[in-house]
Amino acid sequence: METKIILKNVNKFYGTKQALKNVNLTITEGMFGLLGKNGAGKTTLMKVLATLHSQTGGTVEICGIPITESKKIRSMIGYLPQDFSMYGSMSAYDAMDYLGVLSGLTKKERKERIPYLLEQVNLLNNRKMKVKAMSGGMRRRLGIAQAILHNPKVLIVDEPTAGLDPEERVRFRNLLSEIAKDRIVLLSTHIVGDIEATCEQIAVMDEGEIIYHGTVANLLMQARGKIYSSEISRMELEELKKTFVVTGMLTMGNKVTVRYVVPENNPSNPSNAILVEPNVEDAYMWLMNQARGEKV
Amino acid sequence: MKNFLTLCKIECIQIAKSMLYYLFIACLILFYITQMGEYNGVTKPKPGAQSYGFTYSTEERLMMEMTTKGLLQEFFDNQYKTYPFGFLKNVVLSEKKQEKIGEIIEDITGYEISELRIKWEEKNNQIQEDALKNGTMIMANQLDLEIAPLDSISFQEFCSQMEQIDELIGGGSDYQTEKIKTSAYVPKTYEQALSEYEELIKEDGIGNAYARQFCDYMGILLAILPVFLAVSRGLRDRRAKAVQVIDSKQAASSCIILSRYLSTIVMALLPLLLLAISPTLQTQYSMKAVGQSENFFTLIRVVLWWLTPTILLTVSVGFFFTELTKSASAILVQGIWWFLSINSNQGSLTGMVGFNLIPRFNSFGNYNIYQEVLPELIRNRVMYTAIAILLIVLTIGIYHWRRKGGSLSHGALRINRKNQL
Amino acid sequence: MERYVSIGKTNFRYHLLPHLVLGMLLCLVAPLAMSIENLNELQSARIVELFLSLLGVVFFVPQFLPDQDKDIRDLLSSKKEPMLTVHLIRLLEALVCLLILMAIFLICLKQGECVFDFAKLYFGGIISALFLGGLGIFFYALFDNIAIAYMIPVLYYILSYGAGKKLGNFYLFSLLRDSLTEKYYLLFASVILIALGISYRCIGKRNVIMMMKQKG
Repeated sequence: METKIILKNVNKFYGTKQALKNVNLTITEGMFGLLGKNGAGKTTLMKVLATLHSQTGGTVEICGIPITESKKIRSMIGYLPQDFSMYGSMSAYDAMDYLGVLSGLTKKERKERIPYLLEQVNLLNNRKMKVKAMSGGMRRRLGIAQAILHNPKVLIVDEPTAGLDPEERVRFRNLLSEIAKDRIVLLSTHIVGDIEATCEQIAVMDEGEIIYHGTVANLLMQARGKIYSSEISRMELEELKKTFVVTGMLTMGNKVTVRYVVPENNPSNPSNAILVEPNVEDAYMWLMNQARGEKV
Repeated sequence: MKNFLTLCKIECIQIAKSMLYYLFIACLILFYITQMGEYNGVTKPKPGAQSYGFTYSTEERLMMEMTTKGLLQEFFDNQYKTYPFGFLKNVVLSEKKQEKIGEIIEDITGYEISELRIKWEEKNNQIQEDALKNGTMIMANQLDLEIAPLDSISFQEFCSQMEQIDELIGGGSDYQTEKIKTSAYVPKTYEQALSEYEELIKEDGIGNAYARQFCDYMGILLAILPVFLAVSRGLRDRRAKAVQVIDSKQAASSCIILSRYLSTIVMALLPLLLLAISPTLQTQYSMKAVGQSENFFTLIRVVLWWLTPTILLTVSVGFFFTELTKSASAILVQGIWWFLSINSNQGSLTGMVGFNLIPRFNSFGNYNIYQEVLPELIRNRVMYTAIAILLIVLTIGIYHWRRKGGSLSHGALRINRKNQL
Repeated sequence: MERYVSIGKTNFRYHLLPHLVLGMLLCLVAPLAMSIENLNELQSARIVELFLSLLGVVFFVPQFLPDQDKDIRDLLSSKKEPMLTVHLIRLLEALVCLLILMAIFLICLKQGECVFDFAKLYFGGIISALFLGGLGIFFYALFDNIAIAYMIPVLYYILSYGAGKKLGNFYLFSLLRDSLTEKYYLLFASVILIALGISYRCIGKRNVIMMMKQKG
């Protein structure tokens, strides 16, 4: 069976509010990044895939199995919610054991896998530590360990790096990349850096819609020729912000170096502007700007 | 199945590690010590003693007489005392209803109401005169009309007439059959005491007799305490922010809820069984002392079948309302249920069963009453077990539904329907 | 002053209101189950002590419910206004609700020509309610568990119901025996329980342990 997630025309309503609009997406093996603002529908999409929400319309298949067969699906997926926690009085090992039982693992499997996974996430020495005594990073690592405990084909991770320090963040990304070798790792984030470092395939969501689906390289290519950089005075900055979408700026004394998106053939581009090679952040901003432009 | 048992084991360990559980045990022990008191053994009654205690007379004529007297008093005052929930509720009846009751009184006594009224007023005046003469207070029960029900009326007929009156009053009055049976409280004779003693050691068994009293007291507590264990468990996922992780696991909803449910039941029963050990040994010893023997598990067996349904129901209510409302509302629900159960005693506290969650048997012995109410008690226990099972099945349903994304928001039930394709 | 009023308003609207509504509902349905007319002193006392005292559980026990979540608690503690103020305002509001509701109920009894000493029953009832609430507040603070917080006062109520005499001067339903002595003990105990509960909650477990370590 092929490791693949296929979403067709997926809609999701909360009352009258539409959280997902006709989502069509095919996700294959490897790391897949879901990018978008807060409230763009990422978490909703992930919860649908984790069988915690049912879609209002459309079909979802994971590895050929329709999402309605929640029991089968749950045995194939690992899910790490945004704010993972466990019973405070349980030790790391006990929490893993409990969740392992809930995942249908036998005693033998649990005895083998739990120490191995705790080792992987660097918690083996803290296996007796109570969950309530853990730092945010440790808890997150415990979360990832429990999510892959039953060796799922699909790992769904919601905002994995939120609240981690820079070092932890890098370690966590690497861990996810390793895990993604023979399965799908779907991660959502609003931090562009996470995607840049790890994901081959990405999808960008805005207001419940997929506005981009493809490789990071392709996104960069699309944004090529639209990002400029220019050195201006602080006085001019406000004026520039009104006309263009600023993607980055660096202040040095009285001068500001700004990067910004210039829609094609815009005459008001300052004369000293230099065309620059877009980075993922630029490309993302350009994309969001595009999407908004179309809507107007 | 193996995993289910493992889950149960983990749940039990979790309960055993919680402070709430130790307080639960402490409550049980405290209650047991303060309420049950010491077991003093059983002694054979000796002739010539001053008192052999009191008992409710089973003399049917006497009960009918006492009840009729009370009825006349309340009828002429048009003020009927009822205790629907343990608190006095005076009921004043409309003229129409009074007329109906008057007719029943006429049927029973063979007198016309007008005649009775004259007698009643005469008696009333006489008592007031006496009181003026002697300077004494008027006691309510001094109004002793020498009027008895007709001999031709059987006890059954009488009771059914009285039930009609109770209905007219609105229930909870002295005219329920239960109450009539406890209307005549009389001293026991030596013969009665002796035969009760013989019955106790030969037919009933001291273990059984003690067990009933034990269940009576512990039932009061177990109709409320386990709800706290249940609520605490039900709110725990949320408090630990573990809802989503657990929801996304493969385990069936029934497996998750039932493992929690059964573990809570077992852990609630455990201290009870431990508490039963000491009286078991004592009653065993008592039986030996009077030259009889009794199965070692007699007491524990009674405790189990009598009290398990109470625990089942209380825990079910706890799980159900916690799952339904995601709050501690189950405490309120069970609290009200407890309050009403404990306060709606009709008649004697010994052998008061009916559909009450807390069947009462507040005395040692009284085997005859026990035998009489046993079928009722079994019906009661079976019913509560059934309700408990129903509630827990509903709980599984709600859990399952919510787990799939159903939500209780904006005050309306709503499920996000799946697309049927 | 404006700040206190604002804190009080928020607390009333978001936290106390449902409990107040519940308490009022209980009082409203009470006449269905019991007479509130032509009662003598003992019968009136029975209603006040056995029924109205439970309002204390309804109003006081949820004292710490709004900041049950640790994050919310930390957030509130980090604000300029000390948590003590917030707790005192909550306590005061619950007390006022109790005072008013109890007074209304007793006035209704009086209107129904019940014969009793108003002041005696009023304060007796308030104190029993306060004690049950105090037990709840104290154990809520100690164990930070709402189930425990409700369980202890309920247990105490049941104990009073059954083993009254054994509770000595802390008997909850002393007016049924026409005795006021117990009420002074209960009042004293309530104040201590509530003060301990709230201060423990405000100071926090860690700090208490630290203070004990410093001393020891």
